[in-house]
Amino acid sequence: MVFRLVVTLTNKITEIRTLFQSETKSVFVSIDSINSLKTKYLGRKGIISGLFHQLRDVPSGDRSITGKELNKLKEEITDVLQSFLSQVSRTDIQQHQISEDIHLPGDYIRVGSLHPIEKTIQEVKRIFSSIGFSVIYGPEIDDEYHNFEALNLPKHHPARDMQDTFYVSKDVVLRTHTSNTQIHVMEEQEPPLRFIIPGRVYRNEAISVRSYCLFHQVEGLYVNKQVSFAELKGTLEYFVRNFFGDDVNARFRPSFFPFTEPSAEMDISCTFCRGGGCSTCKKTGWLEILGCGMVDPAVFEKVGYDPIKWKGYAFGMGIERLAMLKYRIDDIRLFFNGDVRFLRQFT
Amino acid sequence: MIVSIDWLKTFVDITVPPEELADILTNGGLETDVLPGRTTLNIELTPNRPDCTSHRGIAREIAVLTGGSLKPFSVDLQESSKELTSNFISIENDAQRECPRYAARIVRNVYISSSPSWITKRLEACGLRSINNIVDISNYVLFELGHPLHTFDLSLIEGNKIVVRTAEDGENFQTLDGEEHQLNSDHLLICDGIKPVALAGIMGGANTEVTVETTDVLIESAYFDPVTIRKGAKALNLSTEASKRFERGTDYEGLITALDRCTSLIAEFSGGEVLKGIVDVYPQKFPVNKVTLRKKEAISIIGTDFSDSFIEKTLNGLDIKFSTVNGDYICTQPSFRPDLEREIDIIEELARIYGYGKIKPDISYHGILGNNLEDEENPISQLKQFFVSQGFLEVVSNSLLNKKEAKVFTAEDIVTLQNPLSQEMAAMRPSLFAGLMKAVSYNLRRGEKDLAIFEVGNTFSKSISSLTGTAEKLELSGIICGNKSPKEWKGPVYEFDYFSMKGYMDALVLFLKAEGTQFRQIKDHQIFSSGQILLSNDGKVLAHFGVFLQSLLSIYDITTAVYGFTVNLPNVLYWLSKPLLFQYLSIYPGIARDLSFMIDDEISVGEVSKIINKIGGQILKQLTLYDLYKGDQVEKGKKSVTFNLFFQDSKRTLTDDEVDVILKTIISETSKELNAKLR
Ligand SMILES: [Zn+2]
Repeated sequence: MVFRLVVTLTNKITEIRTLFQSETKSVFVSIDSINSLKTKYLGRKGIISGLFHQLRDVPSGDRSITGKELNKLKEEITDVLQSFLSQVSRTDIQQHQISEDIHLPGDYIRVGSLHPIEKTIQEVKRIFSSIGFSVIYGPEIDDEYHNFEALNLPKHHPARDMQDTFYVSKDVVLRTHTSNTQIHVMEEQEPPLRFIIPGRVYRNEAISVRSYCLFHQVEGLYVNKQVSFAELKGTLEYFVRNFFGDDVNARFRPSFFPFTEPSAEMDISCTFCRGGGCSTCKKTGWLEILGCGMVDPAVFEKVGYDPIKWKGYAFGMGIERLAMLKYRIDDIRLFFNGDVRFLRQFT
Repeated sequence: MIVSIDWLKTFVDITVPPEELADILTNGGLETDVLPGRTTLNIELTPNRPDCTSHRGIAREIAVLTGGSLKPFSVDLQESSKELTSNFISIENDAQRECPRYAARIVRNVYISSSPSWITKRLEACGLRSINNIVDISNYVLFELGHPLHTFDLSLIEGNKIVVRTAEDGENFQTLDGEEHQLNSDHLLICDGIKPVALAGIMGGANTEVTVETTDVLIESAYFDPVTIRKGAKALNLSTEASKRFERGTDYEGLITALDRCTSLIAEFSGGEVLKGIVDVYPQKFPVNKVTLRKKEAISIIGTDFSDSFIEKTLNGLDIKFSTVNGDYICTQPSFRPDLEREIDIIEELARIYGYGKIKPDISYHGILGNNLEDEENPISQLKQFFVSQGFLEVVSNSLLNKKEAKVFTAEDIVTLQNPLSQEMAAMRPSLFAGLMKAVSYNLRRGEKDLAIFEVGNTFSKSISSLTGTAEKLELSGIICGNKSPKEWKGPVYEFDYFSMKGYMDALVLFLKAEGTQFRQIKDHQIFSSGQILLSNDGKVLAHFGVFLQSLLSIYDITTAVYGFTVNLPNVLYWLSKPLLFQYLSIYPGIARDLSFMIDDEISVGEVSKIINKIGGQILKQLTLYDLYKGDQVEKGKKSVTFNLFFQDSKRTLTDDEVDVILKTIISETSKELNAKLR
């Protein structure tokens, strides 16, 4: 009895295979016909399912061989139906047909963009965040103390000429740099600190191709027990490589800022002429991009940090300048007049 | 400052070409360009280096930067007259603080003529016009040694004395350029026995100027307090070669050398005789400042291993006298270097002369510091990205504007500037709409009529409670106008209208996931002729929007309709900061039904949907108005509104019967409350 059942099931598999082949030979390939074949053979109550039921009655010794054969049949049927289906989707003319000329233009979709200043700030934030700098913001209108005095820029000091200032009242100014925020943060927090400050700053300068009465700045400050000028160089060179690319060189040369000592100006090799000399770099091959230095002990004294215990470095860069060099924009006023022909270029 | 390479060579050997010299100076901290002709250099001086305002000072820099040496300089002055200077002039100093030192010499029987050509050539190279031998020589010494000198016609000095005093408020004085100045007590005056003769440290007076008739010359060499000169010059908006140097701090010891040099050149080139002795009022000597330079500290701050021989060579090259004690350098601050007060100042000199380029960059990362904070503008970047994805272009506009224009946007007091660039930029923006309007107007004039733009930035108002008297608010505003899309082959052009704006606000609410947000009508018509406020479920204003008043648009020459919105960032950021939690998706099918009503035209659709929402409750998942009709097909004064309602329960399959019950209640309730008739 048992023997006969095995033979029967194996025979049945062969029988079904022949049946399926004959049925698909003459069939007109359409979605409906494929679906009915699918239900007949592979459905929950279909032929294959029925054969699997009978597998239970096959003695355990033969069950795995017969099971394998049955699975093979199921795969064959599935494959054939699948190949029919893909034929159908290629040939069935009943599908969604484009009756228009497909060379007609597509629908208008409005595409927005971030302002190049914002894009640049985001890029600067991303680079400094990657080496542990936080991001902090501060007020645009501040008292002279935070904008000047606390930064070692006393009243009646010739260094004040370096920054022409707008006054709101006798001792309230539109900040000339975001360094005012350094002071606010140091007044409120104990070191160590490491952050950048992006923001809008103002200079009382006539508007021209090269200067505007306001611009955006990112300043950085790092305060810790031991901080060196070599680290400042390392950090800013890392920034430059990330922002402008590996083929851009940086150089540092001494300069003067009242709030840093030693102070430096960082130049990069000209992005326009690759250092060969052009009108943008005034034939020098170098472009000035930021000022930096070691925090002057006088600044630490103002905020109540012990300058013997704490050291630091600070740097500041103009965002418009970076953006102009990166995107090769030749007129700073383009940033501020809202010309959509300009803005659309930054999608 | 312009310097002549030839002149520099009198103090230091220069073997490199001008371009290389400029590079050396630039890398040493003096930004230098070679001028056309290659015989002169233009040097951009930083305010901390008064010592570099002279050829000798620049020569010292060149020597120390190139490892060369500065040629010695001394003055061999012959006091040829038997007369004593002090018999002709005495100094009375009534302003000791403002003028710590005043010295003078006299040369008699001078012959005023033109200067020798080597002097005029050098002065002309530096951009100075030759006047006469006396004036030229004092200028020559100024450019040679950096100390300003002034020459008076002695015969015009009355009372045989010089009085140094501060000016009285309102006192008048005519400088030698012919200008009348009204002075105040910030100004320092040099006077004779009767009258003021010079505006100290800034400019001499017309009344005692050296002219062709002059025979006897009084030469002044003094040290004036930098702040006094700075204030005085600023008050008169007058900046001279002298004042620029005095306000940076001149050499209080070296002024005698400058005086002797000037005197000896005048004697040599004017044939005059030098009176014996110097009058020098210097009662309180400047203290000698000793600065300890610790090698270890220098190495630690710069991050470079300086050798002793380098340190010693550099200090010597900079004319800084020092001794060593236990490996530390005890330095004496030179009188010509007011910037070298502290150890850090001398460390900077070491780094500068060593060369910043040779300092090896160190890229150690010190791990996360305790204060690492999340960027509080991250959510704002998300909001910006939201508007960008809706097709908006971000603009950045000037925050300074005309006062009258500013007042259009606010009923509150505006923040104004005391010293604006122009009346067009005399106030701080009270609203971002001002800048956006200007952008609209700018673009319209260039034929760009279809606009969707936004800006994020601070707006300003007066505030009594803040220290600065002002308050800043970070806002996001946007504007749309023109067409939604350009003309397309597929069909009609849709204009941006009020409901486009409202659509963006709906999308914003979805983006924020601010549940229960309601729209309320704006009553205040400062800027919008009609508009709405978005209220969150806790009654906070998320945004307001509307269509601008034509009176406001006409200020900007705009005739088309413009729609604007402002997002109240603090209230919106609350929703963005809420943690995002997944909502279960119902596996049970829902039921959709349509309801069409006829209502009076003055009844707002909002009132109808309010009732439907209330009765629909939790299982009414979505309510959509999909048809609104007024016209021939309906009675006059009426309108037909059609809603689609979608009901679904998350725990079970709804039955038609229970949905029908709800619909019946809605119909009876709207009929009772709003006299709505089911169609
Ligand atoms: Zn170039």
